[in-house]
Amino acid sequence: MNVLKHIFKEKITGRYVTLLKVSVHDAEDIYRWRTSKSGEFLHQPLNYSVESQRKWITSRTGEEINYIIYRNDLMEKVGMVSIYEVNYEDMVTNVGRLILDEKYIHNKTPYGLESLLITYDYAFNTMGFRKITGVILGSNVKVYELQKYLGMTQEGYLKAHVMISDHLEDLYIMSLFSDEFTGYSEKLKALLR
Amino acid sequence: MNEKIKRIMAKSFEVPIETINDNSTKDDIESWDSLHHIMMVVELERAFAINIPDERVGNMISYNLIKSIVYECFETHI
Repeated sequence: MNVLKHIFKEKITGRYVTLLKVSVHDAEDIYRWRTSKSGEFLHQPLNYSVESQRKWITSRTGEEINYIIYRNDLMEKVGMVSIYEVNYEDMVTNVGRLILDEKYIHNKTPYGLESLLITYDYAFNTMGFRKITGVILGSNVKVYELQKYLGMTQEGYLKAHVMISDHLEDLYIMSLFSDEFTGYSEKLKALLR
Repeated sequence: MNEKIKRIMAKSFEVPIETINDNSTKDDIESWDSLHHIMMVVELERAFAINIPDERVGNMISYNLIKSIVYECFETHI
C-alpha cells in the first residue's frame, strides 16, 4: 500500500483532558512519573536520568508522537500517552506508554481512560490507522482487563520477556481493529460522567 | 446474591468487605476510579453470567444502584 505519511496533530482535546505534544520542558515531570510508583509497569532504561529523558525527547522522529495529558479545568499535567512504532505501509501503530502522575492514579475523574480513548479515536478516525497494537505486562491485570473492556483482544503472550525492576515479566500482546472500536461515544457516555 | 455483590465490590476496589454496606457510594470509596469501576463491571458480568449494557455502566455509582442493575440484567438474562 502506498500511503503518504501523515503529520500528527500536536493537540487533541477531550471533555476532561487535552493532549499536547511533549516538549523538552516536560523531561523533569516524565522522569518523576517514571521513577515513582506510577512507573512500576514500565521498562526503565539503564542509567535513567532527567538528562537522558531530555535527550530521548529531542531524539524523537516523526514516526511517533508523545503527548502530555493536561486536565482541562486547571491545565495541570496529569501524565503521558503515546502513539509510536507507526507503520504507514500497513497502517498499524502502537498506542501506549500511558503513565499518570501518582496523584491522578485513583481519581474520580477518568483522565487516564479518556486519554486512551481520544488517542484511539484520533489514531483510527483521523489518522486512518487500521489496527492498534499494545503490550501489557503480565502482572498489570487491571490494565489488561481495562483494554479488553475497551475492545482489545489478546493476540499473543510472551513468557518471561522483559526485565522490570530486576525480575522477568510476561507480556500480553493486544490489538484493536478500527472496525472493532466501539468508540469514544458509547463507552464514554457510560464511563466518563 | 447481595453478599456476592458486596464481595465483588470489595475485591474490585481493593478494600475490606466491611467497608461495603447498603449505603456505600462512589464518594465513600477512595479507590473507586474508572479503572476499578471497570474491574467491578467485568467481575460482576463473570460472576452472574450477565451482560451489563454500556449505557447502564455509568449509573452504577452506589451499592444500591449496582444491586438493582445486576438484578435487572440477571432477570433479563434468565
